[in-house]
Amino acid sequence: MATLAFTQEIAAFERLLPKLRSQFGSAWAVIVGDDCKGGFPDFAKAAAFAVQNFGSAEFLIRHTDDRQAQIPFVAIDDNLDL
Amino acid sequence: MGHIIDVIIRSAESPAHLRLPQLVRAGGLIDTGASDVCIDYRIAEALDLRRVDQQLVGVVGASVVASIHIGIVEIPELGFSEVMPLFALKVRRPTHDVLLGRSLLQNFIVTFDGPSGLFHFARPNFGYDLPEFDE
Repeated sequence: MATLAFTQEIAAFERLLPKLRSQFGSAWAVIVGDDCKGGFPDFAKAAAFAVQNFGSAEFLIRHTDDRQAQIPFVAIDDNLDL
Repeated sequence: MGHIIDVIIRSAESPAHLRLPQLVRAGGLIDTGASDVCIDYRIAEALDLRRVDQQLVGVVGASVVASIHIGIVEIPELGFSEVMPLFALKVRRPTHDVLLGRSLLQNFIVTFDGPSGLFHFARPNFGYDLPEFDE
C-alpha cells in the first residue's frame, strides 16, 4: 500500500473547495493544516509562495479544477511503496 | 527533434547544505497521452524534491497513487525552464526516466512529421504570426 499523506490538508481542501473556486476561480491553492494560505494562477507562483513562507512545514498545492491525471501507458510495480 | 529529448530535472529549493545532487539529466519521452510530467521515483528521491500532493492517476488497467513533487524542468534545446508539478511513480522496468506530458507540451505548438519521425516545437505567438500582405 502506498503511504498516505496530506490527510488533514486534503480534507481541508475538499471542505474549502467551493469557497476557493468562488474566491480564486481556476487556480492553484496552497493549504497548510486546515487553512488556505492563497490562490495562484500558476503552479510556479504557488510553489514559490509556499516554499518561501512555509518552507519548514508540510503544505499541499492542488488545483481547484476537477481533473483526473492520466499516465496511460505506464505499468506500476506493485511491490514498491511510494 | 525526435521523440526523446534531453531533459534536466532540478530541485526548486537549494539543497546545497544537504550534499545532494543538484540536477539529474534524463531522456524525456514525448507522451501526448499523459496529462502531466511523470518521473521515475528515484529522481524525486535523489534530488529530495519536496512532495506537495498525492493523487490517483490512471495507468494501464488501474488507478494508483502518485506522489507529486515540486521540480524545475529544463529542456536546453527548447530554451525551456519552468517550475512544475512532477508525478513520481514506481514504474515497472522504466525505459525512460521522464514522460513529457501535456502539462509541459501546452507551452508549445507541437507538430509531428510522420515520414521523418520528427517533432517540431514552436512557442505560441512566435513563428505563427499571420503574414503581412502587400497592398
